[in-house]
Amino acid sequence: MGSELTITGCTPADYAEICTLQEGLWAGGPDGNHAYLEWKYHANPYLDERYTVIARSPSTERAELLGMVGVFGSCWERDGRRITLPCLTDTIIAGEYRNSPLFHEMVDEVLFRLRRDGVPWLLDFGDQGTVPAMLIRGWRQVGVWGQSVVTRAADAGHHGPWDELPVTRGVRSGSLISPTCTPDLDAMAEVVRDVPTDGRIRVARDSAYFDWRASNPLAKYYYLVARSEAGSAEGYLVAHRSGVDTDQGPTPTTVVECEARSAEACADLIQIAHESLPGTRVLMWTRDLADAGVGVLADMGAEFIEPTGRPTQDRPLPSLLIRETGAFPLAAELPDVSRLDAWDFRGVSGRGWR
Amino acid sequence: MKDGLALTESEVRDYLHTLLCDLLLRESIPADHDLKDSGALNSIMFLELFVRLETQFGIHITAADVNQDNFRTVESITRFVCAKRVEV
Repeated sequence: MGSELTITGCTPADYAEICTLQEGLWAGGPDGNHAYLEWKYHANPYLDERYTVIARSPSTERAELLGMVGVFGSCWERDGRRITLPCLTDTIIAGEYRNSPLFHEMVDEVLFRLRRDGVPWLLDFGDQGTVPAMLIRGWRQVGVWGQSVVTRAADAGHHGPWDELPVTRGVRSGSLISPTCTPDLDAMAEVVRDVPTDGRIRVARDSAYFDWRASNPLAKYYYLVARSEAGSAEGYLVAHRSGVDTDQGPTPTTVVECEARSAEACADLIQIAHESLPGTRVLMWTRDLADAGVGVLADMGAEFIEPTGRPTQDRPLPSLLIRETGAFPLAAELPDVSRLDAWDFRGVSGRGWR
Repeated sequence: MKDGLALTESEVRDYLHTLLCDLLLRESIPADHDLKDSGALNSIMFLELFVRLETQFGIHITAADVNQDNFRTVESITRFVCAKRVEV
């Protein structure tokens, strides 16, 4: 089957057709889905759409689009050095090609292109549901980690515009915590810059990154910034909801980042976020979360879901898969990239880089 | 049906053949049919396969077990299940 198809690179000229093939995937309507593709693959500050591939039928008259595998750029840093790593993401397969080799053939084309260009790894932070077939195809599971789930009443949280949430003094840190609907780029970048690294690989976050993420046309973001009496930024928190769901709709609210200079400020941000955010379920990764933050979540009745190592049990949990492309030499600064303890998720509590 | 722990290797193979035919909606699958290259089993089907194996044979399948050596053909899955049962 696959030999009859053509797999090529994807360009923005293909976006309209992609949206038509799978208009329901992102639920943003034709315009919203098109804007999402433009944002994620064309406006990404680290990588354009060069590794996103599409498959077409062999028809010479009108080659029909049959699938897409998206690859976007994520930027990581260790000891002051930065490296861009591509991430596998949105997948679209025409109905008649599901449960066929098409998905894997498109991924193989992505791997070929990465290998050709000397890119050593492809990451996948995708849902656990995709894990088994990828492990069979030679991917490695770096790890699975736990998350907390706080379930709330339908009318919980702040009602009204987010930026009208009253400024609150954190009970642990004494910081003044204020809401914003747009990212305070300077404050957030300042906090990240001043939080020391610990030798592990962490997401590189700067103004360009925050600005890009905030431009996701299918997302709603909620920001909190903690400041000292003197006005210095002490921490920030970013939460995400689907932009195509209502505040009390079925999709979860996810705390995607919580970075702070102190564990106390971090705990205050977590508490106010879980008290104020919309949504009936608030999720947060707990890997690398300080005890003070875990304590706040426990006091709020969080359910802590920990990995078992069994794919049948761990499906709801976040994970990282990695695939070596075969490009050599592998990046010298990341010899331990396939070990979970090499990754620093202290400030990242959800899939914040997409 | 006999308890999974009591099945002979041949009976495990027959059980797996029936199970995979159910998942793939096929009447028969050759013993050397390549589940990796065919792409016929998607992740949801693999998860259902794992659940059925864990339930039938009382084994725990870990992420480290999920590789092409263990899950490429009916034959390789048979060997894996029989080896895994010994660990129980």
